[in-house]
Parts: sequence; structure tokens; C-alpha cells
Amino acid sequence: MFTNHDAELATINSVNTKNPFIALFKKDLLLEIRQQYTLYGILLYIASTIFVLNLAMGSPDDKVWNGLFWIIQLFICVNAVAKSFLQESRGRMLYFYTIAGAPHFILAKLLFNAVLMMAMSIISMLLFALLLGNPLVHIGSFLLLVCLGGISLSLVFTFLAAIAARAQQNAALMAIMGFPLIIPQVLLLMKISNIAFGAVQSGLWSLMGLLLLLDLLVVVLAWILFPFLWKD
Amino acid sequence: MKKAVLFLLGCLIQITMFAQDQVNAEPVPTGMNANGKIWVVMAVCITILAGLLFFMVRVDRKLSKLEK
Amino acid sequence: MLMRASWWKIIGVLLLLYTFSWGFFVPVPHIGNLYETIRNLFFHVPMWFTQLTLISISLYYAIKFLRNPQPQYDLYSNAFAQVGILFGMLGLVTGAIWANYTWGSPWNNDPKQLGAAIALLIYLAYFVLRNSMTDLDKRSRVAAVYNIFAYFIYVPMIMILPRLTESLHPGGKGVEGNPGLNGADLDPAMRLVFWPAVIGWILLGVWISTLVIRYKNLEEQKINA
Repeated sequence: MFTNHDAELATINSVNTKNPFIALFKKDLLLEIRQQYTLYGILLYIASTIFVLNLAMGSPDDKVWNGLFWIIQLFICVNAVAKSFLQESRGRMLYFYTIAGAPHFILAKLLFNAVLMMAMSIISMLLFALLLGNPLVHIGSFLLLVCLGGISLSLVFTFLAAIAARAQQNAALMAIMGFPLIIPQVLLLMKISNIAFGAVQSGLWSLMGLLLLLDLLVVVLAWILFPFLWKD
Repeated sequence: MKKAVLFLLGCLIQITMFAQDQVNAEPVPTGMNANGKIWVVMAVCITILAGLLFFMVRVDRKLSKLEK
Repeated sequence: MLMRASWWKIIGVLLLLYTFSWGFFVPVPHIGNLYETIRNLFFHVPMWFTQLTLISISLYYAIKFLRNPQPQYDLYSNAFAQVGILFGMLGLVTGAIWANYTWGSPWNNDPKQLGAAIALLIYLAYFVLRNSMTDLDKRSRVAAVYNIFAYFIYVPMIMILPRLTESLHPGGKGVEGNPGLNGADLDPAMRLVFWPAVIGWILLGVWISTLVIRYKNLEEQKINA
């Protein structure tokens, strides 16, 4: 707890002086690095899930590999992002909220979770390739897509975590609210990722553009709606 | 609400009557596929009616509870 | 008050009477294996129009609530979403019946079926979210935020879905779609029934919603009294 306090102090000092957005982002990062057990928790979750998959399926064919990969990303995302509004106490959150303003607060959270989820996605891709075989032909473009996908998933679930945090019941509610909303992103990602398996894909860039547009939409919505969520 | 229910019932009767007129018109396909599949349209109409009635009954019950 | 006025209800009833009578007599073109089921256009398709209208009204009141937090607006938003779900379910079930006799099976993973199912899941989640909170003010606000967020993701979704999966619906990219049955070049005689039917069904949906609103108002008064 002492270390948390440190991070908090550092933030409080910088929130007023420098850019509050960057200060809040740094605070999240510091907390994550110092409070290592949650980070290790997610890593262990990824590793054990994929290990169980390995035992259950061995080396699945391309289509199954692709489908499994994105579904696992979905579950990792729910778990990694759910805690982002929980690990801080209400009082502390309100404090940051008032001194930094709601838009900075949610944007910092979005950015932090995007970075976190991107890292987790890359790790799970490596583990997938290691344990479930590597059917990828174009590894570079798939890696890019994995980063993009991690960001897309994290954005939606970050905002839903903010909603769920207000409604107490967390993980289950997040899944109920999130899974129908995330369908377009997941379908787009599965469709685009076919290219990494060597399948010829027409209209790839328009699909990528759609994905980015959706991300932008989610960010804008979160930015507009978040202040109403935390107004008390 | 009663008006709506009555009206919908009236419509249903009309549908079935119209459908019966056609029973002997065209042979060959049987069951739901008979008569140019008009029975499918009837099934759709009945489904909508049933759904709306179900909802109405629920609202009705809640209202009666409230009136008590 | 418009909600209690009866002229638009009468219009709705007349339009539906017209739909249910002339809808069965109007001469229809022969397209594929549709035969007479093409008349479902007047009953199944307007369900979707009504659902979209009702959830749009629900969105309108959610936005209104956030700008000016009156409990009344939240009540409206909730009621319209509720009846919207009813029509969504009816659209889904009637679609499944129609599909069973023309496409061969009730569920075809058609993008429009997916879209309707997703809308149901979204709005059912909306009610789960509402019921998970007891604090009235917080509940209204959080529900309104989710309502707006979900709506603005849902609408682009139903535009994207057809690009990702093959469709049997008219205008879709599938090969087995019904090319003759298209919104744009719908048979003129049928169009004369279709659009009145859509308006009639929408008015009926709004009417039912206002009944729900009145009932909920009464409930509210009872609690406060």
C-alpha cells in the first residue's frame, strides 16, 4: 500500500502542473508495475488458458486457430480491463476526477488499457504459436493486426468497465453488456486475419479503415458520455 | 387496450376466412406449403398476435395488481 | 397531450385494417419460391421498422435525460426500449417462420437475423443493468449512458454486418438472395400496402409504449404516495 501511496503522491504533484492526461497515464503505469500481482495474474491466466487449449486440441487447423485466438483475446480483455476501475477506491477516483477532469481521466484509462491489452495480445500470440502450432504465413501483418485488435477490444471494454463499476456486479455484467457490442470488431478481426493465413483478401484496407473508424467512434462516445457516468 | 385486442381478433378471423376460401383452389403441395404457402403468412400473423396479446395480458395483470 | 390524443391511434388502426385486408388481396408478383409468402412483407418487415423506431425514441429520451435529469424521461426511455424488445422478438420469430418455409431452415446466420438477435441481447443487457442498481438516480443515469453507447455502436454494426456475412435477404451480397424483392424496385402495387403497413405498425408500437408509460407513471405515483 505504501508504494501505491507513492504513485499517488507523484500524480497529485504533477496533475496540477503538467499535462494531467499524461500524469494520470503515468499513475496507472506506476501502479501496474508496482502492484505486480495483478499483472502476473493476467499473464498466468493467458498461459494457463492456452495450455489447456493445447491439451484439448493439439494443433488445430487455420480456421479454428483463428477463431480460438480472437475468442481467447476477448476473455483476456474482460479479465485484464475489468479491474481498471476497481483497484482504486471511490474516494481516490473522485479525487483524480475532480482535479484532472473527466475527459482526461477516461482518456488516460483508455490509453493505458490499450497499451496493456496490446502487450497481452502479443504475448498470447507468441504462446499460441508456441503451443498450438504456427499456421501463420504473414507473421508481420498478423502482428500488426493483433496490436490493432487488442486496442479495439480494450477500448470497448474499458468503457463498459466504467459502467459496470457503477453497477457493482462486475465481471458477469461486463460480459453480458460487452459481448453483443463487440461482435462487429471480432467479426472484422477474424475476417481481416485470414490474410495472415495466406488467403487472398480483397478490400483489406477498407476493412482496416472500418475497424479504425469503430475505434474512433468508441473513443468519442466514451469521451462524451463518461462525465455523465461519474457525476454525483 | 380492449379495442386493440378486439381489432386484432377481427383481423385473425378475416385471415382464416380468406385462407379457407382458397383451400380447394390449388392441389399438390401439402401442409404448410399448400395454397401458395399462404399458411406461412397466417402463422406469421398469429405469432405477432400472440406476442402482442401476451404483452397486453402482462400489462393488464400488473395494472390490476396496482389497482388493488 | 399527444400521448392521450386518439387521432393518431385511429390512423394506426385504419392503416392496420387496410394492411390486414388489402394485404391479402393485392395481386403479388411471383418471385422464386416465395409464392404467397411475399405477403409477409406487410407483417414481418414492419416489425423491424417498429423496433428501430422505438429504440430510437428510447435513445432520444436517454439523451434528454442526460441533458436534463427528469425521472420522467428515464421512464419513457425504459418503456420504449421494453416495447422495442417485444417487436424485436416478434420480428425474429416471424422471420424464423418465414425462413423455414422459403430458405429451408429457421436460422441461416443471415446478417439481418444476426442484427436482430444482437439488438435483443443489447437491450436485455440494458434491463439486467437497470435491475442491478437500487439507487434510482444512479440507475437512470448509468442506464441512459449504456443506452446511448449501445445504440451508437449498434447502428454502425447493422451497416457493417452485411459486408461480413452473406445474406439471403434482398439487397444482400449472397447469391441466393431474392433479387426481385428489393426495397428500391418493390412492386408498385405492393408498395402501396407496404408503407402504410409500416406506419400502422409503428403507430401501434408507440401506442402500446404509451400504455406502458401510463402504467409505470401510476406505479410511480403509488410508490411516492
